[in-house]
Amino acid sequence: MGKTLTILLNRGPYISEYADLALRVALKAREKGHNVNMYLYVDGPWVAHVRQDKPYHNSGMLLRQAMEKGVNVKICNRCAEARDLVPGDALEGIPMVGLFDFTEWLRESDRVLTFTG
Amino acid sequence: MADVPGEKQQEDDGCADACVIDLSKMQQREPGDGGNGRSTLIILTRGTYGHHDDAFSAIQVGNALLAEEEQATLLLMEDGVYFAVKGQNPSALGLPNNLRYVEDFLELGGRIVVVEPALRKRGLVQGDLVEGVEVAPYPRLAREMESHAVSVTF
Repeated sequence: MGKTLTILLNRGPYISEYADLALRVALKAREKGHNVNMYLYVDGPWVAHVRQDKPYHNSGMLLRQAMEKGVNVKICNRCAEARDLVPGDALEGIPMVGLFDFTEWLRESDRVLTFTG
Repeated sequence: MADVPGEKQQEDDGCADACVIDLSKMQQREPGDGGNGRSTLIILTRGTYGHHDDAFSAIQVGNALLAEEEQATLLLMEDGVYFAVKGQNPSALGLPNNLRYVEDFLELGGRIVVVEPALRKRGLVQGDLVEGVEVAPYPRLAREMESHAVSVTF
């Protein structure tokens, strides 16, 4: 039976490799049969803002793949509000929630990884 | 924040005050509301105001954990040591003061540990810090990581 991994992503797309690294780890963990949660915190919600197809690699594409593979993704609602991101700005199916959802994930997790920098 | 102490944030709540932990509401909680006593180590490596959102977000995670009666330790290293300096006042920069959240964290039972060499290299001593903050040598970092269930880093 798989373990539960929670990933805290604090950085947005493009400016660094953290978003891509976090999503690749999430995809690999799912491939190995683990439960994976990803909380988009601080600048992380910007990753969910990359919604359209593009002729080059982008974190939004990886995030869509991760969600299709069963990664649970949530956005910090305060972080989104501070950046004027509303639910319609984000990839469909990602709830904007408070910190208590994240602390609940912490409780359930066997491992927690933070991607910041 | 929900009206009922300890009630979880709902998805459709506004966020003006949704994610900032309200100490007075937490003090109304009944013993045993939520939580299972797991411990989380929150490592902050960023300066309070140069990376305002990292520091602010770190203490919010801490206060949320404590509000749910989890155990939380905030470990300050590198520029993160500035977070616990007493009397800090960034109003001239137009930024809010994080001291209130630091005090809430301590009052809710959280521990703040500052790595001593990082403090010394910045010309600071324990007397410069908020009362109740512990100062520890680097080896404590390993022990703190061992003694907590999970860790998150900012």
